[in-house]
Amino acid sequence: MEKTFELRGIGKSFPGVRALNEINFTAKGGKVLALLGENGAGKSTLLKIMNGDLHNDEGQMLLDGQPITLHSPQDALAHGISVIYQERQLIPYLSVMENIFLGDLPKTKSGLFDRRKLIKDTQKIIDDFGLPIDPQEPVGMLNVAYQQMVEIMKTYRRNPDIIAYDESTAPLTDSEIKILFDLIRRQKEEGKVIIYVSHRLNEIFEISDEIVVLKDGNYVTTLQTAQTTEQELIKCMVGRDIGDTYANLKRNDKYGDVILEVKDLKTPSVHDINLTIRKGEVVGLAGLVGAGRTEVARALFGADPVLSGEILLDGKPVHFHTPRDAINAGIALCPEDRKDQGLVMYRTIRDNVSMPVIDKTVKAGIFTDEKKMTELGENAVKKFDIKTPTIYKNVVELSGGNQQKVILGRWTNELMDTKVMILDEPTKGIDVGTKAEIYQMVCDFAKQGMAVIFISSELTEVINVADRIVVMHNGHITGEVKREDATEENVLSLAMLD
Amino acid sequence: MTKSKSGGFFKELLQKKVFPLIILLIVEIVVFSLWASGIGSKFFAITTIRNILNNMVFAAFLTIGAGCLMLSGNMDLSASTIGAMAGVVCAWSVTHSVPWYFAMLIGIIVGILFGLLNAFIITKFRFPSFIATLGMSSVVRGLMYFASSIGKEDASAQNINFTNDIMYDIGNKKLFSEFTILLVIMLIIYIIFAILVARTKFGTKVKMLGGNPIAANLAGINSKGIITLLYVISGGMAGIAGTLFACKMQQGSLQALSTAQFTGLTGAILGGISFGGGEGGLGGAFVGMLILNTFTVGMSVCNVNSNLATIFNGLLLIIALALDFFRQARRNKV
Repeated sequence: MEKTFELRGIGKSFPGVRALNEINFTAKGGKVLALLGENGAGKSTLLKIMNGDLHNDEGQMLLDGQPITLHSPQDALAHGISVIYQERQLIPYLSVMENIFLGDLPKTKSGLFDRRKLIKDTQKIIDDFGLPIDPQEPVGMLNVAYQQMVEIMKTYRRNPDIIAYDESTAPLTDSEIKILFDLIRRQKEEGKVIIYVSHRLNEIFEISDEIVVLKDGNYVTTLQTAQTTEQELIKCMVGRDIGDTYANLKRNDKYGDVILEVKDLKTPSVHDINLTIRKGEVVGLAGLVGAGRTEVARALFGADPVLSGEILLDGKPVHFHTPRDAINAGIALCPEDRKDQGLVMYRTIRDNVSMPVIDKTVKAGIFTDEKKMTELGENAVKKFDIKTPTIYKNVVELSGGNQQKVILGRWTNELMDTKVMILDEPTKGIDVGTKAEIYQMVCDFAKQGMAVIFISSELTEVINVADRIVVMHNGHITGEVKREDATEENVLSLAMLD
Repeated sequence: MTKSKSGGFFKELLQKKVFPLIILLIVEIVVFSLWASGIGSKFFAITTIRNILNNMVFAAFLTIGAGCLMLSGNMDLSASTIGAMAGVVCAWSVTHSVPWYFAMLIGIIVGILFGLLNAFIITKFRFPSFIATLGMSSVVRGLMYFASSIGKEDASAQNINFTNDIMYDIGNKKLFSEFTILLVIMLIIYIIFAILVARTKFGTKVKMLGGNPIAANLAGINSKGIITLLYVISGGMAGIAGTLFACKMQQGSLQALSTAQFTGLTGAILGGISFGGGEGGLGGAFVGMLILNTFTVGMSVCNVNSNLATIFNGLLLIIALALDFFRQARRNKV
């Protein structure tokens, strides 16, 4: 009988966030169903529910028409469901074979574990994949692409009927992608249900038979891969044409004096950094992950040590030993990782907004001025349209976009005098609507006379929002392009320049 | 769970987390009152209250330091040993004809210096505070035993006995007929720190740091400065507790305060100061200590082997930790 896996009315809420709403679709055996959606569309949550890591609040899952309830990943496995997560779940100091057979190690008659059989069985799997991996090598010694393949082997070994691949190709090179796709095609022929999650449209067109599009936790549509186009897919994902967002931005067109000048800056991870930024200018920092953009930001903010070179603010040389020094001088940083570096998650919006000015919101020298803090919090909520019933809500309950707005509110509260605003991946994991709002905020900061450094890994975004784009590779600047001249191709070629 | 307007001492008591503790305390008092009257004894009396409060004086000083540190996500396991050291140094000074006030001051300064040393190791080398202070505790204890054994024929360390009338009065005299001077000193200092934590920029920064040290640093909160100050407070409080203990006993005792550390930490955790930092206040910790000491005193009023109270205290600590653990695990799941 043909396998089917059906989701019926699946819904899931987290405090303050509706992650999934009425998700309905059926994946059939012998077909590859691609799951497509932007960050925050709900794909990860859906996969976690499929794998028994999370429990759906509403709706049910049906396996071959029978309703199933999953309490744990073990339950899912027992039903033959296996999800290969984006984050690898390997134990780095255990060998390849121990990782692959974890929890199911072969035993000899005397009850000890059977090393010879383990090596033999693992070698067989590795041969099926055709990879030059030693079963006895610790996983941590392999490169990330091979680690990812080991993760896939782990699932392959259990031979599940329903397999979900979550961005599995992200760390792979072309040759392993080919091996993976061959495997998926074999599994498809065996009649297994394959759910394939990826951002890479070309892969989706290559491997999938049908495409389910999610947006903001809602089911949008199911498309037949053979009958659709990239344009149509993007339109479904985004809900409208992306072109508009950038064209509608109200940009700043008046630059002031030079506010920040960086000369030959060198830190442990970047070198020869030269930058000049004027008031009212938005400078994009583009580059691949690990190019050193965040490190430049941190050095300018006093969070990383400067080995040599000069930073001039308003023409005067400055030396920041701590972020506090930088903040006092008028530099602000919205860090890359909101949750870990930006916010105190279990404190209120109000407290998070007032953080850098705790010393200024005081009465009689030491006592906290609750009224003043409340005022700062309320103004930030108004100014950035933060969606919350009250400023006394802990930021953990807000959506990603609203959390980001809290950080923006922090650096622009009326007790701050921010001259240089550094935004590191400000739209990461944020829905499209809020992204557009944040782009406009970036332009507004510039209009208010701030210099903005806009760091982003999304090329489209950085070349369309920034006035000029500085491209980094391997710790140094490889070039600069104006927005008018910037294309994804020329920025990318600079980003990959050796 | 929303810890909204960071309220003051009394508001904090009324917050959800402390409320069940107060209920627990009341239940405890009722149970012991009934039990005591059943065996013809009396629990609900001014003497009992006096005993409970007097019992927790030294632990309370350590709780001030431990509580503030835990709020910032740090620990100090060396406080009781530092306190004992301060007491020994104070006693030694008195026996070497140093004036009493100066000897006490020296004791407190010893505490502060070891606090600074802790802070230096932790902020400079970024050691986990748990390990750094555990090591420091051993170093201080060794130093104390070594120094007090110098010149002895069998190299055995001994407590230093002394007599000083003023110091004896400080440690034992009663004010308002029932309550000791020590208790009054403790209450004043405790309330000052409870207010500092709940109401001032210092307290806010400590809690931010405990909530997320990286974010706090990137938002301009001087984490090294705050942590240093907190260890100085912890060391200083240990110094005060140690010298006052020496006053009370007329002795620089090598084993001073060893149970106070446990009561102080348990009280803080029981009182809702999260091990992960960032949440709670000294008010809750006070109620936590009251619960522990009420039990100890209650057991003795009811003529039960007092060792059973130690078992109960240990179990309470485990339960308090488990609750804290579940609370954090639930958070991390989101």
